[in-house]
Amino acid sequence: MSARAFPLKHFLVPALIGVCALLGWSTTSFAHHGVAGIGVAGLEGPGAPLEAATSATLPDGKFLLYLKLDRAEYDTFDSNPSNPESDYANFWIGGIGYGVTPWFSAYVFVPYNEKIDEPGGFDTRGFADISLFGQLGFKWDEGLQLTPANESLDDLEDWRFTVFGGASIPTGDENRRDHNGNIDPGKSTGFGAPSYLTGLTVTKTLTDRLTFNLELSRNAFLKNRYADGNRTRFGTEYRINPALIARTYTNLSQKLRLDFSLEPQYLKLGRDRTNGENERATGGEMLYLLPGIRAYWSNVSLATGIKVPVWTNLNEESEQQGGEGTEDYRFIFTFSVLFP
Amino acid sequence: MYYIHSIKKIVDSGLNETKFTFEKGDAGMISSSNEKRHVSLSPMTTTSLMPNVLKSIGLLLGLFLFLCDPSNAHDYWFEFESQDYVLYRGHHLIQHEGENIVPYDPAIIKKVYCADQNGVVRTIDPPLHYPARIPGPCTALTVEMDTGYWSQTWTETLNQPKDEVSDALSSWRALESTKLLNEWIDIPTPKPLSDGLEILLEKNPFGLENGQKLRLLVMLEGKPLEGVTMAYDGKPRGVTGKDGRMNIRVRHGGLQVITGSIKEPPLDRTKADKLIRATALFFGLPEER
Repeated sequence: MSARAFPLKHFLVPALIGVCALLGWSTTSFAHHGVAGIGVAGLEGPGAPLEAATSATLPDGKFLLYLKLDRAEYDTFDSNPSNPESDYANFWIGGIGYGVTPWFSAYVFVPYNEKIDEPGGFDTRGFADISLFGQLGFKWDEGLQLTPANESLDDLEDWRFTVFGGASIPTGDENRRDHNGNIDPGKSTGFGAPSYLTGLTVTKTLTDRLTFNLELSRNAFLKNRYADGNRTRFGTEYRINPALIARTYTNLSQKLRLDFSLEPQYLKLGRDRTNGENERATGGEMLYLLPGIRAYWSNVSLATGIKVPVWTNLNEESEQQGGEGTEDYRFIFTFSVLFP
Repeated sequence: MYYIHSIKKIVDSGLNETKFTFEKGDAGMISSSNEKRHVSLSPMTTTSLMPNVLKSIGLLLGLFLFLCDPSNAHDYWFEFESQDYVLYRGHHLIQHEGENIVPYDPAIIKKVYCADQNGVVRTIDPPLHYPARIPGPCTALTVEMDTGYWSQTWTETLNQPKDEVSDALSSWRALESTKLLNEWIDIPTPKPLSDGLEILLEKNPFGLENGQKLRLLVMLEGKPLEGVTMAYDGKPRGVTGKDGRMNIRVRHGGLQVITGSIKEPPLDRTKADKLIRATALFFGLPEER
């Protein structure tokens, strides 16, 4: 199976993680902690990175609606029109979260993918695997404790932690066939088998306006047997995502806040295995840099940024066109709203 | 006027930024989105700014209480005189010394509580004469005040119920209290001095460093009260939970000013739209720690 066969398989992970970065503290934490509306905590509390998971949990009894677009524009390796390469992909994620308790949040995500080749190539669109996700929050305040229901702005300066986990359900179509009738897992809209995501976060306000965040996570895939009989297990993913977020502008009367963030994202991908054999041109390491901007208004948050690979060490890199680390850039946009 | 306005805004929206800072040299600034006034501490307070706890406590005896009535932009403050606490009102702490003490009707003082080092509380009859002189010493002192009904018009704030004002835009009844903590009362369970809205400290605050937390408990009628918006130096920091508790970090030495307020349904709808309870807690920490 060629390297070309498995591009874009990792899109779910950052999307899953990214949702946690939204709203938990940033626009709703005062609601979280007892005051209706955005409140001062939303305007003065800790910031949230664009993609990395934070240690924020959703307010008890509140829902979060979430939408994310991750558009990847790929570098192309040759200009031969008879060999169309991956051009771009749009990874949409719609999700809903619920604060089951102040210290536990549950999420459901439904992805929709568009994977577009250069002219003459093989394009696919469709809903992908649904994912379920849970996050357990802690803080350190004279000892480790679960995230309490009521906290002040000063409490939000405590060291905060979460552990999270989730799994995808293979609701997408993993057996998309190309023009020649061959299954193209890389262009399919499902993985065929669940994947399991686990991780932890650490968050600390460094100053009144500066927040540090760290997310460590692992995503492991189960082996899937495709309709053509091939059995594939995608390589395990490891992420180390530190972030600094700066509260740059606050307008209390307008309930408006603006943050800038910088996220270096390290990603290590294991080599895929098909029928017990290592796949060529899969796996490797890469480092992205994601500068972003986030705006809060009332109970709504909008964020955007450009994610660029700044260092890569991919296996058989010249053959990995259309996979992680070979992007020209990724455009990230998120929208989220908390209610009631 | 300032204080009641700011509390009302905080209660209503939770968003208005109200800054209340004290600067070295005993001068400070109160500011909000639409007001800005300088304040200063009394001469007694100024001489009390010494680098130890007891003298910082003495600082508090001359502090002003910020229980400013909405109609006159006046502040209330104590001055320490021969172990007694004398309550003043006016502009004395604001701009011009010597011409700025404004007499008040001592009838606004409803109850006075004085606690000794063992936490034994004695009730002191509200003084009948101006200026109100409250006999000390008190390890902790709480004064409850009822400044009556207030109505906001397009042009002014009047100390009258809305049924006596033709063009009232909003109206409220103000019940206020202030508490001065001179020393820690080391008893197993902190108890309020009064039945009114009162801020309690659950742990001894006098050894706290900058960044450490004050563990606050807000009570009304002896029970924890949820939903009280709490502020440090005039800046809202959060609200009390179901257990009446909230934490605030110490940010500086010297005078600590913690305020709380909550909006409730009015006692008489014909006279006011709402009841606002406001309370303040003052204590001192060494400047150098």
